Amino acid sequence: MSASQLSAQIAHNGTTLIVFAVFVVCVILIALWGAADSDTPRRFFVSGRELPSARNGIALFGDFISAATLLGTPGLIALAGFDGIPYLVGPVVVWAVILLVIAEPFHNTGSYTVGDALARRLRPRPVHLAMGLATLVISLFYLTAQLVGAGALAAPLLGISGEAAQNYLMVFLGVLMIIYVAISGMHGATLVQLLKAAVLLAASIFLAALVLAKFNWNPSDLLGTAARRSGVGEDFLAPGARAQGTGTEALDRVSLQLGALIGAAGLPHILMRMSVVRSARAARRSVQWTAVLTCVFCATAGILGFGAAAVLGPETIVAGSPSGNTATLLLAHSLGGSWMLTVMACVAFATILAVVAGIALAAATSVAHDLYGAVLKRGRATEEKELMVARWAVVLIGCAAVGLSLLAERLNVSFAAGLAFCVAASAILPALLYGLYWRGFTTTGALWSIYGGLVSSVVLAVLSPAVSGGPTALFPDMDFNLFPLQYPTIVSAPLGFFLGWLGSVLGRDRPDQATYSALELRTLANAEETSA
Amino acid sequence: MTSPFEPFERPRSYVGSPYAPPPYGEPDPPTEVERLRAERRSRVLPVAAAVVGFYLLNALLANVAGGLMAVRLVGHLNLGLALALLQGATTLLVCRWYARYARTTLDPLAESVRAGLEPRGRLR
Repeated sequence: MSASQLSAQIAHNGTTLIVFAVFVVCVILIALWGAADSDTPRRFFVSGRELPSARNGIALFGDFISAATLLGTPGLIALAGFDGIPYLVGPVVVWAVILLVIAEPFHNTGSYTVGDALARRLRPRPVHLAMGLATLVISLFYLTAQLVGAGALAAPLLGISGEAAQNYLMVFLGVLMIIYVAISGMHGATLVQLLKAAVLLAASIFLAALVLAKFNWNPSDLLGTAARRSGVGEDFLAPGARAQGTGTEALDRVSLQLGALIGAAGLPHILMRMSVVRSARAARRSVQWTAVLTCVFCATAGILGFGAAAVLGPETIVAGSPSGNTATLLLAHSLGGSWMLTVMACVAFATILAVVAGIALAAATSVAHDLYGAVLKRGRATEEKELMVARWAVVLIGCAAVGLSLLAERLNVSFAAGLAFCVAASAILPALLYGLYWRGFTTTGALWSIYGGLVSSVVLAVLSPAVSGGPTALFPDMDFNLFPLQYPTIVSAPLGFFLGWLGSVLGRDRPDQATYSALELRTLANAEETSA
Repeated sequence: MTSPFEPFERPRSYVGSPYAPPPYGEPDPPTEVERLRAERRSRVLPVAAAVVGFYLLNALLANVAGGLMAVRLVGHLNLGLALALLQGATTLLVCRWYARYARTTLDPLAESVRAGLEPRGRLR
């Protein structure tokens, strides 16, 4: 069944549009409901720091799991077998790292943005500027990736396929995101993320149960059938079933996995959620919630991936979409009929909506708080002005992301998302870790690390085979492909760490011992618990 | 007995004097802040590093030793898939361990540090 046949079948159904419309109305009502609670920057950015930890943990899960994990990864597993598994392991393991290393210290710095956390011990204006720019770059890449990915949902949601329908859906999603983030800030984002987390878990667990029931609740049967139908036999369940094993490709995959792990720990919208709760203990409990939910979801996604391979077979999946992005939807249709397909499409839409809301909010916070409040106004901006700038920043960033995604329809979604993770791993994470843990870190080191990581990851990505020099590249007619890897994390993240050290050692400014001691005391002693 | 005319000559023994420096080899007992820092750095950070190391080792193995990962264990479950499941399990275990460790060790220390600081208001 091809994508157009699929859409034709749904157009007959007709209930799809009604379900979808009900869903959209719910989202807008949520935004209006949250509006009254977003009247000061503290409430708009971080819900007044008083969200209960369980709710924050579930929302964090909703913030983190993107359409790439719901649609892309099962598709990849269905087509490439074992080679898709690392995409499920990275998102789980990262929560142990965030819990142990980042969550509580970051909460205790009492910041809205990463720039805030560093500005507590370094010269505020330059680090706010650098972190603000890095946050903007990451957010634009990630937003664009999510919006382009949403285009794939046009056929199952609207019942029409083709480029125009995809564009409509992207613009519609962007406008919806702008409306409710601009109106209700963190409060609205949290509500949508909670809703998304609930429907995502319920729908995917239900679908996975259908898959397992089909194989008599025997996972080994499921794996065996998937391997048999794949055409490569038992090799399907081992590394390298589809990919050629050249050294460069192996390095590229390790680089991608490194980025998936340490990049996620530096994503601004994830870090921001550490500040939404009352105490370090609550931040810890939030992350524990997220770790468990992510683990459950990733196990389900693995079952869906092998389930798609076993139930549908590779020909059907490739006919739906060459990259396998519609495998989950096709599986839903095959097991639960068109009703289940509609539900899964709405779940996927909610997934994207919740993720773009979190990113847009983090980007707007960074613009209003770092770039406007700290850099332009030198920390003397009034609360009303900062809030107004934040709301307009949501509109501007949303429009820019929609514009970019309309221009970059050829963009490979996983490449753009991987690049966002790469910038987070190279520009934000090194400075954040040094800032929290290293006494000798200086402003010069921070600037070298942030700008060095930012420039190196973007430049290397531009010179990569994903952008030019091949038929599948973004600009297939040009060739400035000088760097062999698609994902530069393995080069740029160590470079970010190295430059942070080098700048601190060589720079003329000396580390400020007194402010570091104060910050360390604050992070160690859970100081926010008393002053919040 | 020391002469009052030799002001630079030090007394033989400081023991018992309020100006006595700590004897060599016996440093101050660590303050609570230092203990808290040491706990975090010597326990928590190495565990986090081990988790990252295990993940990267798996990533490398999958790309270098594909044959090893294809060894079948039970039914159609092979070593590679089992290691992936194991990583999920270790993540949950590490999270549980940390929660317990933080509750029993880190939180009481942090609380006493905070109690010592609050009257002086150094956190504001």
